[in-house]
Amino acid sequence: MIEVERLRKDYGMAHALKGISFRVQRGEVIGFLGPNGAGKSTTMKILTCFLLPTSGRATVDGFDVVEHSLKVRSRIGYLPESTPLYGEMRVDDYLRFCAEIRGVPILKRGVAIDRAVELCGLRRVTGKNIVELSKGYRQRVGLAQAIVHEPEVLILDEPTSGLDPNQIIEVRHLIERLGQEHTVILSTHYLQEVEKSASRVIVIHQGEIVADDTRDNLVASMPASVITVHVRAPLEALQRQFHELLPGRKVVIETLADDSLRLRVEVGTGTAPLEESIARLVVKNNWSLLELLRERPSLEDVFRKLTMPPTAANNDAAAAGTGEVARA
Amino acid sequence: MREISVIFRRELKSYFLSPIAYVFGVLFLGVLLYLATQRQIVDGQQASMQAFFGLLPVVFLFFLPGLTMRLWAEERRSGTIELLMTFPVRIGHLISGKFFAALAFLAVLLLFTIGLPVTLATYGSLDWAPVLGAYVASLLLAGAYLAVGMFWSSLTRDQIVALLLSLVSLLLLYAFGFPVVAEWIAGFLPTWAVDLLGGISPYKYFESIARGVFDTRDIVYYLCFCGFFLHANALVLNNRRLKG
Amino acid sequence: MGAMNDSLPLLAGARRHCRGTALGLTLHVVLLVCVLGQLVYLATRHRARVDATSDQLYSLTDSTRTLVGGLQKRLVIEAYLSPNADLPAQLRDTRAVLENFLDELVQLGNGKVVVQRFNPNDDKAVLDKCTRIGVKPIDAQNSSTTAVGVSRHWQGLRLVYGGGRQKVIEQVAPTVSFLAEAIVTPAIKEVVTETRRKLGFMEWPSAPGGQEAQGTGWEYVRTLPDVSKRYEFQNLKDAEGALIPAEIETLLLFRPTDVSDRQKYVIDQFLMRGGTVVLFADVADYGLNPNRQCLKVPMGFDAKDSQWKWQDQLLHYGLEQTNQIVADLQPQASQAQNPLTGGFEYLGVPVQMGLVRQVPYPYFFHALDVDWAQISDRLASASGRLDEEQAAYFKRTLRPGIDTDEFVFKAFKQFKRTPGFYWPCVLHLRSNGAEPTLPDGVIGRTLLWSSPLTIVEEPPQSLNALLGRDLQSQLAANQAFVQKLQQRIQSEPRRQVPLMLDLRGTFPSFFRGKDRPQKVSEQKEEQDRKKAEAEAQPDAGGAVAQEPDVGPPKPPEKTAGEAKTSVVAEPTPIAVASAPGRIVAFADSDFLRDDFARGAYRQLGGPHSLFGAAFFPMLLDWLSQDSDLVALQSRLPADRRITLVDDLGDGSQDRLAAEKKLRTTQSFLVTMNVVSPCLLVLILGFAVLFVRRSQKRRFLSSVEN
Repeated sequence: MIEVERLRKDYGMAHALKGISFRVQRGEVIGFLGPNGAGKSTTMKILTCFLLPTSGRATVDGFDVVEHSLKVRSRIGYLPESTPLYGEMRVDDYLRFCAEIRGVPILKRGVAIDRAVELCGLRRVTGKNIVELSKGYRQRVGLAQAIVHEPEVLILDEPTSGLDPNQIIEVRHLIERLGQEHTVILSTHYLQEVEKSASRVIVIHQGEIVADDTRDNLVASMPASVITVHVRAPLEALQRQFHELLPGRKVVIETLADDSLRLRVEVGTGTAPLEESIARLVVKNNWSLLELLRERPSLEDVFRKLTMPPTAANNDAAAAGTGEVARA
Repeated sequence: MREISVIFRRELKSYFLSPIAYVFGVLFLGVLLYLATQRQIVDGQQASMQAFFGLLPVVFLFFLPGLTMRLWAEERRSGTIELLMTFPVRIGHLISGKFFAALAFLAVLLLFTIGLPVTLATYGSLDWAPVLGAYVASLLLAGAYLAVGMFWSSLTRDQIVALLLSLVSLLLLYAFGFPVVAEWIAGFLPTWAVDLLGGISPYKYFESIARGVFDTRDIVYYLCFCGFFLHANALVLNNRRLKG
Repeated sequence: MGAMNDSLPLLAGARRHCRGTALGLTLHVVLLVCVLGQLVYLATRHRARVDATSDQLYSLTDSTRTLVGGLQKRLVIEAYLSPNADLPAQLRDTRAVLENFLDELVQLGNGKVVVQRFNPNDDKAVLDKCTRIGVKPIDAQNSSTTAVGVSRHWQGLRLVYGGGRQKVIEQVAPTVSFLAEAIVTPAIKEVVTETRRKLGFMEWPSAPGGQEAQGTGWEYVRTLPDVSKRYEFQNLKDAEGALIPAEIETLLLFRPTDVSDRQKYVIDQFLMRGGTVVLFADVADYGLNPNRQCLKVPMGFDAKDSQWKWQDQLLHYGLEQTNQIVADLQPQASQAQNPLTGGFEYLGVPVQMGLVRQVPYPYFFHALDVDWAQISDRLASASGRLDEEQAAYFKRTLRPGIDTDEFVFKAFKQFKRTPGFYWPCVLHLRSNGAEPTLPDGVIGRTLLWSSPLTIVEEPPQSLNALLGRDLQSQLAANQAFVQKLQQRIQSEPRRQVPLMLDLRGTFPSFFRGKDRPQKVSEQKEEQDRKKAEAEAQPDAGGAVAQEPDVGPPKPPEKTAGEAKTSVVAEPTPIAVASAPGRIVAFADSDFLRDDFARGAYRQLGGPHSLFGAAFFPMLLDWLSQDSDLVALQSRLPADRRITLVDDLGDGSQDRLAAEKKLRTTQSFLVTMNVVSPCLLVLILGFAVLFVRRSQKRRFLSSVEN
């Protein structure tokens, strides 16, 4: 659906994009991740034909964004960063305008607007001026505008920025629903958004793609996850029993102030679920289990790992290491 | 065409929904009609609209930049330009839609001046053909000025800067045709340059239209003038796509 | 994008690294400017103008167009113009008009018109030339804050045609383009016209023995500057009776009286070869001596021993002249339009120094530009009630006073009337009472008609309307005179009388089947020969000797063979017209007569045929199909004054009141025109606001439910 090849964009002397390439299949929901100024917005603006690339090629549905920009634009719904809207217009007028200018046939226009209004939950505000709406509603109007013509591709640039947590959840649900029908490219620096809705994540940093994989693969590519067991038990027995249960695994045990113990067990990816056997072990020994949880490496970790300058990442790792030793 | 009409309707509607447009309209009509009636009814003895149309190039000069200043600057400031430019619409259509909307708004305002010729026709025998023709031609003049204002508006995101730039550039252009100014610049510029500047200046091109003589030269001039700045406008917008 | 300098990306871009695109952009703009500039330049060179003003004030007339478009040689217009910059404001406007006009001439001329500009203030040699050729400076007072001075400006033209003929326009300061045209075009015409058109004329002034001492010929109109510059007149009423020279196409006949047979023959043959005869006819010659006792001077159409009658000859061509004169009792027909300026045009009496009181005199009148059929109802209800049958008859038969759209009357139509006629005679198309019976191949039309209130009568001995010594008795006499006529018209039928006719076609020769009247020399020769013959052989048949001639059907001439060989051979008489000829006939000759046209009676209160003299050049131009200057003369802007208050009144009190009323009306109109549109705009704004508000309220309530 979308193909990007060695796309470069220079702003004067600054290189915003340094030749990125990626593909998006039809129906995919892509999370575009990166810190501010990484080139997410630039990529999106090029895909929506708002900007011209310095070099490289980008096509949407087989149409080049430079050569056939009109065809590309008609296939895209776009929500720009910070959701610009015509404040003096009424919501329904605005949506009608967007539908008209995108060539929704006159007979389908009413239905299309109704659908967008319904999907985005704008029923209660259609008669209001946009300028009077709350930030969340404005964001929804922006989304409604982007989907009113049922585009094949939806490009959403930071759709949740500046919203309060409730609004974020609302919008996130909305995007999830939209993702069922459209190809969606979604940029954000809120990881949760991508974690929930995106099937694939592209991490972009300083104009380069540093990771491009499915979410699970990305997570899986992280070295390990940790199981934390919080238990009240005699230390020695515990040490022995765990050693028997998980031979060869690194188990860090620390004694907490109330004499309870916290164990951190590093498990490799793809290992069989350990929680059950750990629980059985605790029950068998008649220990009291206070807490048993598995800490997965979040995208946040992935993100941080990928985008942190190498030295900073090392420091972090080093700090973790020392902490471990001390507690051990 | 559809795209032009959609843009046109939105822009025109936004003119009519904006209170500032009405303030603008009242000021414009007040100044224009006051000056015109002073010349036409109080001083004038002839039932002709020559003084009225003679005023238009100057009155337009001061008012039309106010009509165009927000056209692009506002879009850029609020970021809606990003939406506008990613709609499946050619830049030319965007410009045309906005341009004709501004022109139509002005035409509506001019419609309110129709009382003056009607008054003159009541008290004297007014020759209607040149009056109606000159009304149409004054839209050409307005078009030329609007194109300049739009061009400057596309270069900045500050409306006031756009207003000042178009006001100054129009004033300069107009002044080049002024005999006094022409003499003055003849002091340090070669004759051909003075002639050239005089030829560019809209000063002399409305004179015969105001009298009721429609000259292809004047009409071609206004169309070219208008076309140049609209084209330059498109170049600016296109160029911005390249630069970001 | 944040890195971009926002205000001027074009310029910023040009300075930045993207050389290629910046260069491309610059080229693009330059190219665009070049193309559009070229377009504007071309449009400036090849202009088409549409003048939407209803009186076409700002377009060159066809006159100038055809004149300048048809130039054979180069016309150089030397323009002596002091620099535009120095001109005072009022002259600067005229300069712009003049320059514009000259530009238009150059464009019209297709390279044949060249304008050369000289600045006399700059160059001593040019200044000298100016004074030498007669271009005159315009002195203007310019008062600045420091001093009052007189500045000298030049704005004159010299036209040089083909390197030879030239004409100087000393000063030209037109405020509008049609004034420029009115000044320059006739000058061009004068320069360009290389040969004056030759016109022939014959005139029969009042007999020297008559009561009239001063000029009763028609020399004045022939020597008008407008006329003599373009036309050359040749008196063809010579003693010999020679045929009209071939180069003459138009022959003017001023009041033919005592016409000899030979003259009749000459006129006939001229008409047969396609000439145009312009006839100014009259049946009676009234003298207007200083007492203005209008007494009939004896006059007859035919010379003493003539065999053929002039009236028969005219009738043969389709033109019937009866021995009657015409009076028009329509009051407007014999009143000057403007009593102040045109008071002398008809009969009047001086009342004070320079002031004239006009008196009605129905024998002096002009044709009115009125469609008389329009008022047939009024004419038919003269007796108090409408006679419908008569009204219908009038509607059918009555003709407009100026029954033509020919350009010769274009100017006069603006005045709603023609030049005045003085004691016109009755001259109409030959008819059997109802239908015209013109000769085959001839079409005739009547261009001017009198009003339906016309009396026709045998010319009385005296038509004096001003008997009496003092003003009172004169006025009384006049009143009685008019009353008598008015009584008479009650019993007369309503009719219109033609005042100008135009016949064209192949006229039949009046002399077909008749003997050819001989030239004077021939007659003399024949007499000599007869005498000799009588001496030689007293018993000869003499005059009956029939000579075979080349023209087959007609009776041959009586001249003897030897005579023919000795004198220049007289061409064969033309029996059937070889080319279509034309007769333009006026039922009056007095309106062009010297004493009338020159204004000899102005001191006495008239009549002065002011418009006759203006009409004559137009007539000649019309006859020679030279429409140029006629069109130019008729250009007057329509009256477009605004009258806010009906009349300013005469009395000083009225005037004051009217003045006050005027001010009130003015300020009312100004207020109305300024305030009401603004109010309307505001109302529109509030209406929109209100509609939006109510829409929103409705929406909100619908959401809450």
